[in-house]
Amino acid sequence: MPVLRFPTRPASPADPHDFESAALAELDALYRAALRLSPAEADDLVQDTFVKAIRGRARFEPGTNLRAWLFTILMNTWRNRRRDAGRDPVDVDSERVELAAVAADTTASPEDLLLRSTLDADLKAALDRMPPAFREAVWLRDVEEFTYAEIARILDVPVGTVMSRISRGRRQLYEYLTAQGSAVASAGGRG
Amino acid sequence: VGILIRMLCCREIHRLTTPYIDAEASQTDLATVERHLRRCPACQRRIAAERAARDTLKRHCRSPLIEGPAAPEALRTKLANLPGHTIELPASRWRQVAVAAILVVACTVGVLAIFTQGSATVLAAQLVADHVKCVFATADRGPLDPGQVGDRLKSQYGLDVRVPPGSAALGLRLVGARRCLSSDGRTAHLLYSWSGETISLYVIPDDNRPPADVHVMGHDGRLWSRHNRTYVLVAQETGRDLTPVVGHMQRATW
Repeated sequence: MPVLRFPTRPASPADPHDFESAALAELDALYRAALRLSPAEADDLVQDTFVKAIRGRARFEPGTNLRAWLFTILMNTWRNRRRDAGRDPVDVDSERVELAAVAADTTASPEDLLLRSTLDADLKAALDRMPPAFREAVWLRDVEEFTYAEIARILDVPVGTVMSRISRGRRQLYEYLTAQGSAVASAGGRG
Repeated sequence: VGILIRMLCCREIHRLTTPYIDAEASQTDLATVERHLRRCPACQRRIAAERAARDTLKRHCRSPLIEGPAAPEALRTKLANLPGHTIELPASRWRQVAVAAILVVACTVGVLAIFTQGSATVLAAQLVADHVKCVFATADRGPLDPGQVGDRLKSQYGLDVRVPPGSAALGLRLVGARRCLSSDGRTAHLLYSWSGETISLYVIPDDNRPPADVHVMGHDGRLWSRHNRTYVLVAQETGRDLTPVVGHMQRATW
């Protein structure tokens, strides 16, 4: 198996004990990612990830991004499980997504529509509605702040696909949020 | 014609908008996008929408509802005490050598098996090689449900096996199952964690061998037969008494 290289950014634990401590420091982020993938399997996914990381730590290159490496193992573990179960993790209606930005309300500025009134619950609902492939790409970029190249390795797709998923995912998120905002406004008006 | 040209132009620009928003576009692409945006309100709206979604997520992502819960303390404790934390693994070069050695032994044993069919020691050696390879490559997925594992072996591989459950009293958990390629792929291989150590139970159909205890390649093997099947339990030789585990397996498969 080739050595994975993740240029840039923190965490370069050469010592085994440092490696374990550094890996455990990423536990919450990994657990949350596992929860998004499969709440029922989150514990098992994270445990598998750590077992593989510890067994394979010789393949980790000190000076590179440990967090990205751990996320890659997590996603590989998830994909293997899905493959074992004969399911396809990617279910994307691309045409519908392509239409999202076109269908969006253009009378108010998008920033105003969203930043003014988005509630956590709306955002949570919108994220839950997104196809997992898009949601994960957007989350890895905007929350975990990985580079496109790191996300490509984590998701095992080309960089171009990463950018496309992020773009489509964000526009879909926007579409959902604006739709929810309209619904809230309408309900308020009627009440 | 003007609209058509602008649409074609927009399509090219769409490819660049995400890196433009994330400040990862090259200087050339940056200038191209900005030049286009000066005369294209549709692309301005598209970029504003994507940027608004990104900024909204960034702004709210640390709220507990969005971010989700932290890892449970029990999981943290479990991971901090994984067996691997105290076991130094060989460096990758030595790992390759070890795998190669296992394969050589497995091949040698396989050839020997052809000429000495029926030898419990040869069979055990063959399975020990398989066991070492699998322990090396298999993550603990357990505890698994024995009924589901039996169903999976039946539906995927046609292996009809009564899968012994784990035992809390023995510290035994069912953690994996696969088809072993010995006996033309008809052997079921069940993996258990026994107080942290991985042990294997092989179930070979249409095979009847007398009970035997063998010690080979640093491992203990226990053989017994029942209902036209031979069972082989393989564990690393650590001085621990396998008898309670063998008794449990036998009772579960009677």
